[in-house]
Amino acid sequence: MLRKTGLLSAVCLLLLTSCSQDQHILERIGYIRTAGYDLQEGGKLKITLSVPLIINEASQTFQTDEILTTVATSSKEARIKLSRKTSRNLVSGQLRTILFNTDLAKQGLHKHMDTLLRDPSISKLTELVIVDGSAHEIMTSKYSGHPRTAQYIDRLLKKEFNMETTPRILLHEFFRDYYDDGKDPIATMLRKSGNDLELNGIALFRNDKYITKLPPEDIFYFSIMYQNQGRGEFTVVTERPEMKSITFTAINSRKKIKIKKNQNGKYVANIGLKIEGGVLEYIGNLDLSTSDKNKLEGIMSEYISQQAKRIVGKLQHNRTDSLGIGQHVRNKMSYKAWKDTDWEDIYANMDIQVHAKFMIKNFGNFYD
Amino acid sequence: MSQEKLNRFFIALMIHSTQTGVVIFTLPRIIATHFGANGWVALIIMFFLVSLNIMLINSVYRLGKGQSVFAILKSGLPRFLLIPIYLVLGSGLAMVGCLVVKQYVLIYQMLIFPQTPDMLLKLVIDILVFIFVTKGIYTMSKANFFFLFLLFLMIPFSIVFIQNMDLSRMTPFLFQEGNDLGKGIISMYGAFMGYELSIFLFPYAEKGKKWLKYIHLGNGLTLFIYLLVTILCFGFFNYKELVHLSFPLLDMFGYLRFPFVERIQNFLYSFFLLSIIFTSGMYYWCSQSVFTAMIPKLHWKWALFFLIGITYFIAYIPKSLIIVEKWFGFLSYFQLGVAIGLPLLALLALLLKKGRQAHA
Amino acid sequence: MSIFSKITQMFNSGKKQQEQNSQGTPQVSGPLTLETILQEFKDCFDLDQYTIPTLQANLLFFSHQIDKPTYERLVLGPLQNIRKEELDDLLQQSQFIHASDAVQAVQGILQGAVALFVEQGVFLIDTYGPDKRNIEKSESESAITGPHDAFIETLETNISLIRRKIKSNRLKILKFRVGELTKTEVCVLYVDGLANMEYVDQMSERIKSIEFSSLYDGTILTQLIDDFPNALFPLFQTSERPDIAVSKLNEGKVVVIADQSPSVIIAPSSFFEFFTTPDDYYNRWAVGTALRLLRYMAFIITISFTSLYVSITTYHYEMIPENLLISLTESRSRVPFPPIIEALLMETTIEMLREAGARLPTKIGQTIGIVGGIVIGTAAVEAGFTSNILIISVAMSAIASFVIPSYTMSGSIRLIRFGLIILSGMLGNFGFVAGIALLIIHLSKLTSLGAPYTIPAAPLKPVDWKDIFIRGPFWSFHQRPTQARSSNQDPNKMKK
Repeated sequence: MLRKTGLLSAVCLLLLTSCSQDQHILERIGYIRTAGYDLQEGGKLKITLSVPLIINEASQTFQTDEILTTVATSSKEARIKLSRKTSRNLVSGQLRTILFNTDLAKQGLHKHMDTLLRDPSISKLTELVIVDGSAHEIMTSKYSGHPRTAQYIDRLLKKEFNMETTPRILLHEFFRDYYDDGKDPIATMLRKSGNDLELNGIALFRNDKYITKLPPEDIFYFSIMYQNQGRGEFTVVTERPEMKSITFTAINSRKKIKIKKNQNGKYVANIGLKIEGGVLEYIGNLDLSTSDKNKLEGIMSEYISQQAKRIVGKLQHNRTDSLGIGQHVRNKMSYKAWKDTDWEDIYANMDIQVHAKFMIKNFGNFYD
Repeated sequence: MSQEKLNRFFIALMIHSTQTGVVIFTLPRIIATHFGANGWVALIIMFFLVSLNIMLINSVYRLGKGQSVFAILKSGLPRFLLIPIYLVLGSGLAMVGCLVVKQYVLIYQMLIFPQTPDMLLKLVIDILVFIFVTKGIYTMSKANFFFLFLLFLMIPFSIVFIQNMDLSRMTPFLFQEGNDLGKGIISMYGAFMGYELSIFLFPYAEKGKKWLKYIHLGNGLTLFIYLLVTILCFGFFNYKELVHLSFPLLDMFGYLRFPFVERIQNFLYSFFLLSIIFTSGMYYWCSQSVFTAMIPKLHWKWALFFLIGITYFIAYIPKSLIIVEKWFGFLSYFQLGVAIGLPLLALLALLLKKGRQAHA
Repeated sequence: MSIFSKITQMFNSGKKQQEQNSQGTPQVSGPLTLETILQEFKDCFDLDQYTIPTLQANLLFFSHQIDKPTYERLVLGPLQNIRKEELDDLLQQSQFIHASDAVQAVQGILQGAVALFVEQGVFLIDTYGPDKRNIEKSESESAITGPHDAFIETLETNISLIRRKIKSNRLKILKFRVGELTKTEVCVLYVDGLANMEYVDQMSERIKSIEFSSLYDGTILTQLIDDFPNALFPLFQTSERPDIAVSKLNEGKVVVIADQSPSVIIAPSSFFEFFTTPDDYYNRWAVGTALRLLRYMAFIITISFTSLYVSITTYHYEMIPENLLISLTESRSRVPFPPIIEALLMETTIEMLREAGARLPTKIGQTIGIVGGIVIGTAAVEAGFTSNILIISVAMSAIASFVIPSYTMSGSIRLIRFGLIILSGMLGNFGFVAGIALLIIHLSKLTSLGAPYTIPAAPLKPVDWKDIFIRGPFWSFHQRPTQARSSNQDPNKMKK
């Protein structure tokens, strides 16, 4: 018995000398928080990495983040090049946001994303952002009145996702939709406006190439067709006297996409939307407590249907199936039929109807 | 005092624990690659095949009237035939136990500790397995209950994943775009392997035939867990993406985010060490029971020590995950042989014995 | 072959081979005379000798061992008032026990009897009754509601405390003597008809076969009758409260009381019983359940918190959420040591504080506690000795370890915590899980008086769960606990 415990403790002592090679002691590593990719001439990439600084490392400066920039063909090559400059071990485990420049995205993102899939330390919860302009510039600017840049970007995006003002797109959703042949991926867009960062719309992809973007005003209508909303706000401004400006809050919406075959054998899609919301601000000449409410609901339903149809038209024109209509069509076909169809073609010419039904849930504290 | 017999429910848990292991991480990918869309249906078919096999083992118990399988074989077959069978059986079982650990360690090394030598981690696990098995089968079954309790605590996470699932992603196609069906069947069969060790539990279970149903229960529990994981993966990712993900379950776990901790996939993967310890321990225990049946004078703890030691050094040979998986491919045939061949051999021995008694 | 078996014997864990042997009777040479006995007690100045010349009687006794009123009533009074002729009649009274040999006389005097040396022979009169403590509250175990009396050192009082709570002739008490030098009386109590006689016999066998020189306390007795002396966890519950002892007797368990010790032993015990207190039963069951769950949570926190801190900051930085990341890095950056050294330093400091607090008298001890806790903690962070999150973690672990009701169990848990911290520091999450696996394997093999230690979890007895993991309402108890394997399963009635 004694000898057995002696043997075990000897082995334990052996182990004490072990695992020290893999230590990533927290304050001694440089965890990359944001990575930005820009297109450079010659097909190379300009890669910018942002590593937060702590007091011990940046004793004499007011810098909050260490920004490292280099030009390379791939991101890991850049990391190796940059690690020659810094006193800390660069690791990617805490990578939170990845910024791609639009020009780079137009060329196709798949080859740059290989390491994002292969590296086990990169989480699928990383935010994917397409930026108008240079990613390097966005990351290196200081935004007064806002937290550190890396944190600012991350928190801005997280807040937008939580408030459901824009669909939640992380690496996981991007890859999943990329591999799905019935849907095309999307991404959030950012740009720098003055001294702030601004959410600038939704980037539409076909496979992995960036095609066009939806402006911020259209995000809401896209979003209610993309997913079931549980919260959010939106504003409608028209010229009609009944509805000069109206803002809704606490949006609750359900979507249903139905595919039918019409007489010609072509597929017809019908997107049914049921939305309800509470009025937060109303500038118009109707009284909401009377039967005018139904009138307003009717006007809203029609307006939403129109806007949604316009956006669907834009998607069709650009041949980006961001809403996933292809998935529903596929589920109606047999495997062989699906393989034989040229979905892009059919999608561009498909008849897609949008019917929205809007219901006012309450009209707030003011009774009129 | 009250430890003479293994509790039936614990037998079910033991069988379940032996069957599940590292394979749960790669199973969705294997099914997506070899079976294609909605390939998880194949799991149910496999389950029924395995159930037939379990019924074969049950019949050995019934006809042998609860004797240990070694007693049956010894009474029926001549000794010179048994020695090579036992040798092959014992070494094969020990190799499976060793490779299970090696595979786990290689994956661990790839994910979390790239610079640490994998044989060091394997040494730690082997010491744990040695301590585990030397406590005897009853302690093993009791410890297994706690291991499974900790592992089943992960099941409520599936609620989070269900919220992210979209049924339309799971296309209505069945078994499309799979390739190399044969390899897929072998891999999937390998996922269910572990039930054949129930044949070694005969002398330790209670008298009577009621406990035989619990082997089916253990197998059913395995099916439930595999279906849960696979269906969730098929809905969470789509089947084309699954082909490219090495460890879909880990990616799924990586999606969880709590306010005080996130990215717990490595932490949860570490907890599967408990399942590995049990699987490996069970195989080593069966292996040493074969060798002690062969050489009665050998003390079982020494047999265990040598088995673990020798297989440890053999484990130096496969250096990468791919080679280990190839070895596992060969061993799957061996396990198939044990699962079907050993009960058949036992039945043969019983027939021969009956024949001899009838003549005598 | 012989070397083989010798080495294999090394691997045999489990019960030690305890041979039967006698208690080691002392040898007294010489006949039973006054001189022999005085020779035996040479150099014991506290032995009193009293002579009654009219009767030619000598009395030998330890005056501090006897009860003076009893002595005067039973011995002095009668002897002083009679004449020599009536002595024979007097000696017929029941309190005069004839001593057959010198050994018996010596033992009798040691056990507080008065030895009477007369012509007719040597007689012993039992007058045992030394000073004893009053029945007070227990220092280490206290409940907020419920009875506050606790066991004291005198065996008779302790048995009386139990007899006044169980008024049944089914309460049986067996007596043994343990200890070569101390010859301590040890009593085994059980309720006939409730307790399983196998356990009673096992316990009696083990006590009889103890070979030990001096028994100071019941907790030492626990370690002598252990199934697994090398186990980390205490295998028998000890308590200073009679209400706990009585409730366990009612469940069919065996209680062992040792003289000169306020701790009684309850056997067999289950691991989960160490997390119960009488307060759970004196409160309503919803409150009792919440308290129990709190204790299990405290157990988990105390063993895992600091180890997870060490493993995350050393190996697994990706597990830290966004909001904690910067502040954790900043506070860690001031510390010159790696996290494992930092954690071990702080844990050792807390343990030293705890030990120091146990040695000091209460007034100083309280000040040290405050000084240690607040000043050292804050100063350590400011000096850059540790990070503030580690202080919180260590303090929470320490507080959580106090939540465990049993002192011996909390000592074991502190030890486990150190082991897990070291393992986490060496191998990260892998080491942590390996430590947990070792812990579970160790727990699973333990038995308490032959009954499995981890019952009702393994073997699985779901019917017991409502008294172990939660505190179920009294109307839901239909059975006695399974560990005791009682023959009477009805919890509310005794069988005839």
